[in-house]
Amino acid sequence: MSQSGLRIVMAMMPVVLGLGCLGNIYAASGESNEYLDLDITQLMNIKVTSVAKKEQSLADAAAAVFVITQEDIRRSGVTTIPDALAMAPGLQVAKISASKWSVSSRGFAGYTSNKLLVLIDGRSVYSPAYSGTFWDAQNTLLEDIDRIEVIRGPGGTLWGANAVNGVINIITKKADQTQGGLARLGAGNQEPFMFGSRYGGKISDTAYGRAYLTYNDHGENVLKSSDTDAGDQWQSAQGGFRMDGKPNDGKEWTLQGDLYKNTGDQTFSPFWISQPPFMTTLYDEVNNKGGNLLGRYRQEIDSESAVALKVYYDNNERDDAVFKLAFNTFDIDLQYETKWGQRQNLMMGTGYRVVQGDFDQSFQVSLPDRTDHLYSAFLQDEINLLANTLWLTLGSKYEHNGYTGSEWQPSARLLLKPAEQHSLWTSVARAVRTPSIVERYGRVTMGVFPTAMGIGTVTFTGNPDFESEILYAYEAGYRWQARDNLSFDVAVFYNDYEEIYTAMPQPSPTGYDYVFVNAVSGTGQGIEVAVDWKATSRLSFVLTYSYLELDLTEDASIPREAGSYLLNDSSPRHQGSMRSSLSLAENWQVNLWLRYVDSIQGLNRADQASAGPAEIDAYLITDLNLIWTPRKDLEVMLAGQNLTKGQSFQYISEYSTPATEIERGVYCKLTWRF
Amino acid sequence: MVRAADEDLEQKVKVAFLLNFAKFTAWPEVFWPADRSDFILAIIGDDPFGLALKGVDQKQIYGKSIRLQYAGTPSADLENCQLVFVSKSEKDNLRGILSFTEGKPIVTVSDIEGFAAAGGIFEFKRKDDHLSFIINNSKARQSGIHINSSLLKLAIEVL
Repeated sequence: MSQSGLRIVMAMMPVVLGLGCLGNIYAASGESNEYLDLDITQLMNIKVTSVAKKEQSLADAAAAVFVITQEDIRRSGVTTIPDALAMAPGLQVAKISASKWSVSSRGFAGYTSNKLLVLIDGRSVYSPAYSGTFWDAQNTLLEDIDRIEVIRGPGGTLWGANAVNGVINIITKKADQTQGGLARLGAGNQEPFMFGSRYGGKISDTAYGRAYLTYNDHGENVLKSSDTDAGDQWQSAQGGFRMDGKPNDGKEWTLQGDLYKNTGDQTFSPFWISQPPFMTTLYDEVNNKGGNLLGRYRQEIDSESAVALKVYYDNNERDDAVFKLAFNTFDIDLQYETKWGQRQNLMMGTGYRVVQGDFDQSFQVSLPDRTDHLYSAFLQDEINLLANTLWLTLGSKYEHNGYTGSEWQPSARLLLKPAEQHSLWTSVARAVRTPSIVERYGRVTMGVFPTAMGIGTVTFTGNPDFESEILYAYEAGYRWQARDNLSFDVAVFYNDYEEIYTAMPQPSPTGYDYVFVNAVSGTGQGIEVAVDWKATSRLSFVLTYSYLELDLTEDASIPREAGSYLLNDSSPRHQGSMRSSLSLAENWQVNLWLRYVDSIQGLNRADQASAGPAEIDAYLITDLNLIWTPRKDLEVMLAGQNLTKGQSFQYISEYSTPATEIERGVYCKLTWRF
Repeated sequence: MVRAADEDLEQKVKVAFLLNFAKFTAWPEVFWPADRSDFILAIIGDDPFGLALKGVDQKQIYGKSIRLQYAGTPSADLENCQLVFVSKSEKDNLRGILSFTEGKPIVTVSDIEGFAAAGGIFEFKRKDDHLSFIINNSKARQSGIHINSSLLKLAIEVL
């Protein structure tokens, strides 16, 4: 553990000890059912379902959706959000190192994977620098997450650009659901220190609030080549609050914010410098910090319409040996939904976002400072064609961005519910990924060599003419609630891609450049299955299977060394997982999670000059944990992660992280609610 | 866009309804001796409530603390229960369960459609977007159970 880590542990001690004294008061747990004290007339006034589009039930969504619940997260024993995402079918989640992941939906895996929109409580967290998500900067208290909605396929109509292959909605609990206190303390070989705490209380008769603090130390893994330490340990600290109020019926507000600071070790290999020996290895430290503030207000105008306003500010800074970046984002979003006649549900919205990016240039990476304005509007109409049986949803988003100008993202979705237990849906949609800063104006050094004149360089170079990537997606699915305790969910898709990015080698005055171009097209298709079976009140299973086939080809002008042919094989074709949960005696529970991932081809871009594609073998990951609840307010978890093999090699980064094997982890964790 | 939490809300509300049903029901004293310390709430079949039951055992009915009991099928154990919730998973075993509770002072509750008509005492019924219930009061009387009139007034239907 680093020095700063220790200091934080010391600071926490009084808090932890203080909780010990409170433990004697055997009060009702903070998580207990908050409706128990209501009288019958109050209960009869609670709306248990809502007509609002936003609160649709899973069975009524005409899209491929999978929900990871708080209970799933708790039982899985995962310690980070990206690790939790591996529970969803249709996603490809591979751990590159302790702090780096490849998370993608329906293909296009990579550390710089870029066709996925990630939102935390409605705040976009993918980076405009490269259209991907820095997962090590997303560390909210896992216990506060209500659910993670994973939508595979395009979500551009509602959410806008970058929601090409999927949308991940991380949704935290409302403050009234987190009343009372929670303290979590854990330690293990791969997770040397885990701390989380939260306290929630009532602010007024109609408002609740909570504050949380979390600090985690993640241990290092080993290098594949030498079996020595990979230098990838990292520490994350984050704190925040959330307040929710319902001043009266039909009015609702939320104010929330977070502050975080993370420090991690990382290794650049090779690390290119401008003097001999040019190719070196750098053991580096990455620091990122940031904060955000988000407010939301929703008001029902009458029983059939509502208006909602969302405003947020987000700051994030990232600093390592090759680049220093700072983003300041301000976003405002207005939505209105209303019933229109007997059969139509209209939803419309408009938004404005300004993103200001500041960068420090280095020999390795250069990006220009930029301020971008994004204007958007959307309209969606849900038409009930046959009463309670057939619905058609039509809509489109319009966006205007500073790179490609106007973009339209229309979709049409059809949902058929011939009976309560059966839902059939199909959809067609167009989605785009707008260019990121690096693709338009960036420069990334990928090789240096001596010449008679001095040095020559190989770089990835931005292209001012780089355009949006386009997807036409055709999807269908079937959900069947066979019995109360057994449900099936199947989705199939056919994706037609155009203008996908690759890099075209071109001689330059100082060597040669790989210039970003829209020169790959083709198709992706697959099937995703999820089965949920609660065999008995003590034993439950969730099975998932995903099949993915990509058939992308680069234009004839693109030479093979650009590596885009590897796109077809860089995501696993078959993936399967089984999670089971067994309650033993009254307060013991065993959870098992098996995950199979098919072999893939990787390419370390940094090694491009020397190495070809690298085969990554299929692997099976076994996570097993035991939860003991000796008292209502206390939970002890003994968890084993990655138990099948001592180490697993999951992904080779196309960025300059050396190939790293993820080690077996064992930890013990104590969670106290008071 | 999707809201899994809706289901949790409904389960929480249903559990709160169960407590209210118990509060407004009188059991024949002979089946409920004064030295009995607990009130047993049994769930037959798959437990649909899960976490919604948290905190129930901190509550009391007529000064007796509530104890939860789970049963796959009706058995002799049920004779000691005051309140029995029949899960939807038992739809096909309904006749067997109801013939077991027949004539005994056990209050049965379920969200299975047609439960009250089939001889159950409380049936949850959704009305518009709110939860309500049907009471089979003649069955309750036959079993020696007295349901408070204020509860009967709130029911959407009394059989």
